[in-house]
Amino acid sequence: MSVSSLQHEELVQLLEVLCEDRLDRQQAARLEELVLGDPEARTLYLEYISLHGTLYWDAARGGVEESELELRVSDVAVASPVTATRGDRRRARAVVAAAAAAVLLVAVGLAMWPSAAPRGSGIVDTDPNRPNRPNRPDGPAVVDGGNGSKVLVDPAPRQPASIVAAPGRQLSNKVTPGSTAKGAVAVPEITSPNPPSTGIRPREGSLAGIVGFVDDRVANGWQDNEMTASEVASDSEWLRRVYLDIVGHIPPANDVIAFLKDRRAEKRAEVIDRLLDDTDYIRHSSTVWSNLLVGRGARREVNRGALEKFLRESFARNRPWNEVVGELVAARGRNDENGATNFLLAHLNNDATPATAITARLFLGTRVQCTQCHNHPFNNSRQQQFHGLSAFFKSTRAAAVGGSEAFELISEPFDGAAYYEDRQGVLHMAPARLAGQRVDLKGVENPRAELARLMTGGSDPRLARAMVNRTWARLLGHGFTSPVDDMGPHNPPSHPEVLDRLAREFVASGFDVKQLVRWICSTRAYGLTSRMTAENTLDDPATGGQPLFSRVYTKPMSVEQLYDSLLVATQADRITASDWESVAANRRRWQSQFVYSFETDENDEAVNFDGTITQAMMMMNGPLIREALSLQPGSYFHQVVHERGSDVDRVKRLCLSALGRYPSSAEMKAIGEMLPLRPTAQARQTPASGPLAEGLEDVFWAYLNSSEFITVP
Amino acid sequence: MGSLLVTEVRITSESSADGSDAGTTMAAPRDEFIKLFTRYQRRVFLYILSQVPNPVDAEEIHQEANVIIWRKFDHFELGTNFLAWSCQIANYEVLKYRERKRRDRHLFSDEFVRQVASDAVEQADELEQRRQHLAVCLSKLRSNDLELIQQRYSAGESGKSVAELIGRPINSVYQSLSRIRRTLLECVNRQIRAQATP
Repeated sequence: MSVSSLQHEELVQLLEVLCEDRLDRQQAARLEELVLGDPEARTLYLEYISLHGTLYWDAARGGVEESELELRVSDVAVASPVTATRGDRRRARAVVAAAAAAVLLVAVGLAMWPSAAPRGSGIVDTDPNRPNRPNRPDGPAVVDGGNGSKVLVDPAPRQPASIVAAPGRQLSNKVTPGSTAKGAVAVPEITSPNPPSTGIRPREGSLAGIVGFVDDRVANGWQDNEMTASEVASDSEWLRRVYLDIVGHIPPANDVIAFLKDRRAEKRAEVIDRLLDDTDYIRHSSTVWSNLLVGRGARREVNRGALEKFLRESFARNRPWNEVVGELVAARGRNDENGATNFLLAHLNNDATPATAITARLFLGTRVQCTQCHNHPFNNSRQQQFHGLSAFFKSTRAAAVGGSEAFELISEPFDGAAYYEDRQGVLHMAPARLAGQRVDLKGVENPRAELARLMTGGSDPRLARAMVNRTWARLLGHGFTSPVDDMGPHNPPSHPEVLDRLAREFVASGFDVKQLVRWICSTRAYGLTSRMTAENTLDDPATGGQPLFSRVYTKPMSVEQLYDSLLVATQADRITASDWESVAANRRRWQSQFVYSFETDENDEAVNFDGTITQAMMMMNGPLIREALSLQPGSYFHQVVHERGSDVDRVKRLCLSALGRYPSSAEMKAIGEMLPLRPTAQARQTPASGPLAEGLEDVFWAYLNSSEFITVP
Repeated sequence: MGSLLVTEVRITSESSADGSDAGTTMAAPRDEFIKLFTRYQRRVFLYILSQVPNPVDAEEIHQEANVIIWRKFDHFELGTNFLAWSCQIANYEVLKYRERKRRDRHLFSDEFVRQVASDAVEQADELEQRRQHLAVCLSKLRSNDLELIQQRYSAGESGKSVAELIGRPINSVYQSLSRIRRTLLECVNRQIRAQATP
């Protein structure tokens, strides 16, 4: 699988080059080799070319369906192919397009519509006796060709610029206190008129529609609570947040500068798209999920590398979430060959209790572990429920593979039930069940495959809801429920309509994880500053209340985010110039200092990483920081000291790199008092050295060790 | 070989050039033929494009093929596979084109072209289905993306010319286009899967 997915990526890249007509001889040869070598590659080739060709074909025809054309095409079409001559640039398909146009001027709808939604709908006038609609400047026309034939003039009917509101616009709208709710209502409404009689609802599934709905509902919550939301986040705050959230590290100084300079309304939307396409999105998502799936600590049975590889491949191809979960739950085989097996291999201790609990919690947003021993006092989950779920895991075993360090995850057929004693000591049998549905597992070869099918088949909404809630929480700093993975009826969500809609759209999108992130990052709430105002101090879920998302709640960086951000800020990795694998290994070694794990029902971990003294010492004195601040060529600090520019510029660059913003005037003043900054002309001539260089080092060190640095704003 | 075919063609439908004989006895099969011709225009184009991946070249070939298809329309037996029949004609035109361009640029090998051509016919129905999903997927694009992809694919444009037009660096436009096409491909795959497992 790994080989073919690598080749898949290579082939897609070549196809992209091909689509833009830039393929050179060597690339062409490689493309041939790939395509001829594998039937799947051939299919991909054809799918890509047909996508390319269809876009090309349809773009010039305004997306008119052939089925519509053929109804009335005969009158005109007969004449045209015969008159077509070699040099005719407007090719045969223009004939068809124009033929259609002559008879059925595509009406209002298409011109008003962003592309595809109403295609094939009832807006085409098929009545030949009806006069053409008044000529619009962009409509095709039939012109007398002079020799008795009709010449069809195709004015290249382009779709007009879409009128769907660009999400960037919503994001960059300055929200003035008092106008918030009104603004949120206005945005989605301008997206589109309803299509005439098509029954298609174009706003379903569209970014603007979803985001508009969410903004609307969230703003209602502010209104209901008589609260004014915080201001829109500054560009530097927002950029730092979105980088840390999507790619897992702070933005490099150059990206910050470019972003701050950019004055276009759509720049935020563009950054979201670009980051989702960045390879670090893949890496960060894999890190987040491997931590959730198996924790950070090392376990003998777990091959973390293989699991991360599985996740990387899944996120790289943006595989549907239900598919990924299905594979994790149903996985069998060697843990070095099938990375997905490592999830359950990590949790088979204690009679697979953790396996049951974590599967329910992570993927279904349901906490069942307390019901292992007793019926839940507040909600209607029962012991039966826990054991019904655990039955699916009963026959799952880990086996060491002889002659290697690998483990194998096996499923054996069994009688299909779990047995447990209640607190009175009565023995019960719990047949396998999910969401109240009993499943007969007798003789089933892999009971977990059954479970995976039931969980991910779409009839159980919990899979989508759990993922939406978790993703929302990861981005906004708080979920719709708290804890994020306890979504039972006893714990109602703060914004049920938003959760429902996002979950529904997530399912409709085919469990598209990237889309989900894109939707949430495009909401108005995500674009707000994390600073409280006098008006919304009450919106503080950390104190136990319901979140209103009138601001973004700050999050501490994870150890991985911190490590990777330090590398971005200091370019320390460029000094020791090493490959990806050893960077990852270094990071694991580094973070292991902070992590302790316990063998519990949930295999909990404590991350001793919360701005405590331990962490501070580690940060301040660790070799990472030492290297970063050294004057070795390659490091960012070395560059700053040696570059041409004033000393004030040097300070600015250090601040940009560490905190993603320019230094405040107060900071600048304090620094000016401490450092022997030189006159600009002199500073431009010679690099900083001596006490000045040491002073700059102190400044950088202070920035890197500030609480601002370790916070996701 | 291709030129042989052309000389063989009997010119049959001159009389219908002005479309005035719609009521004659020829009308019924002709109408049927027109329907088929129209319906399969795009698929024939895509078939050619799989072998000659430059759309402008493919279009020229398609146009030549169309002339032949029209001239030969009374050779076509209604009820047989129109697409296969048209693709055969298109095939000769592709061969002629490749013959002309033999010394030109980077052509794919004969083996490659044979293989993808035969796959393309086999998978014509699946590809057609994908095209319907593409319409849905286009509607899900962000408006900026939709605009960019429409600009890229309007007549005569290329990634390069669009970059010049909108004043963005060419590589960033290539990147965006690549991202959008990948998104569309992924989306279509998803739609297909969603349909397969309701």
